[in-house]
Amino acid sequence: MPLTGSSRLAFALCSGMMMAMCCLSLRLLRAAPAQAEQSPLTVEMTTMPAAEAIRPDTDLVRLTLTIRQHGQPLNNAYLQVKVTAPPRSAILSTDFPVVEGTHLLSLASVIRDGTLTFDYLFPIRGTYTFDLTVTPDPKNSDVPPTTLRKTLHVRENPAEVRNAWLLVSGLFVFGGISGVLLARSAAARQQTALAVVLAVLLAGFLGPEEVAAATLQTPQTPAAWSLEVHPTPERATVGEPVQLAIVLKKDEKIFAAPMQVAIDIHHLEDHKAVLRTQTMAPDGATSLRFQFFDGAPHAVTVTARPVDGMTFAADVPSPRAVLDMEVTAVHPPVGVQLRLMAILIGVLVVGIMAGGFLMPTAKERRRA
Amino acid sequence: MQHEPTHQTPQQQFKYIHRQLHIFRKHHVSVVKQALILIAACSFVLYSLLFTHVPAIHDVFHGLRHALGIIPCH
Repeated sequence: MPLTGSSRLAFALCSGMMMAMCCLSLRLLRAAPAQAEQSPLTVEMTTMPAAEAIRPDTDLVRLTLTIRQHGQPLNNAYLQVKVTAPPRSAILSTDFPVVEGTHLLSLASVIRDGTLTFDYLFPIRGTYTFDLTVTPDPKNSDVPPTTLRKTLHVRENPAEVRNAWLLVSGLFVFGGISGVLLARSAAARQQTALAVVLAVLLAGFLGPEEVAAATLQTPQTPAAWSLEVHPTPERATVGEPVQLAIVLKKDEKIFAAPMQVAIDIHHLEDHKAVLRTQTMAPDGATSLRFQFFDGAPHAVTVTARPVDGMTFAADVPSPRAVLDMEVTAVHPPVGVQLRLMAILIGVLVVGIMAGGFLMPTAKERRRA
Repeated sequence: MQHEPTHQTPQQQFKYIHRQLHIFRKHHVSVVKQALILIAACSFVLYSLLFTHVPAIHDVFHGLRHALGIIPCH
């Protein structure tokens, strides 16, 4: 017995939805290779773990950038790194939509042996852009300042892909079962029960909004030395980078010689490191731009070690500053929420239609 | 509950059937309306679990939202 018009419509909608979800899943799992522009200098980026195994918001990734000139590591150059988050997707959002397409991190360092290493926790899936500006030492090289670009694709956590599929499948199955029940029942006995459920759920909406965050600075430095860390703006907000100005002083004067700066940013709520880096500053002042991507308390620990002629002075103490930063959360855009809500409700509706129209047709087929 | 009387005239039977039909129509909700009520209830539950910013609800389901990977959070 051929399918009726409504059944065909439900079947077509069902098939379309499943195909769309398959395409989205493939998009989530897609891997893109890294790429670099042609220039007199070349850059190689390696990650630990490998790019294919990185799980966003879970794995602290060790990134090593190696700058080469004529195949040899570039010595005594100044490297600036700017990391930009993946652009916003047209269909499916990530769990940190405010971060998408924004500036995540900027750090600068004098590099020796052509390498810069830092640990970073990538917040979301997608393709990150690394803009590198290399300024070779004019005494040792005639290469002008060069801008290089690298990209790194981070796939979604497989466990989260599975969970998303479970949610979609669960909604579809629930819709299908509901559709079967609705099709077989002509009575409206569930009206009262639904009203009670709605009333109970409505009660859950009464509550205060989130409280704004605060900033507190607690420097810890030995005598004669002082290490100052000034965040700008003082109140961190998700989606907006914070400029951390780091100044090392000795006897109230800015330290004039090179210093090595270790920066450790720790997510206090989840007890995980977000950034770890060691940079070399030509004098006692440097800065870092960093975006806190999660609205939770963070601890920024900065340790500065003076360097004597590129050799550590063993008897010099290491001034240390700890900055406790509360990060103000930002609600995701309403449009992003509505879009995903429409997708989820769409799956439910397709399930109801499939259950309500396809099942009776099968019954009729058996009777025939 | 009303029971059909044992001895009824045709007029009484007609009135009884008419009354039963009236009660049925009064309390009947069409399948489309039931489906719409179900969709509205599910939308409300989904919004509450996955999208609302109310701290009392958000804090409980914060981990779930991030575990799904596609739910926008702060």
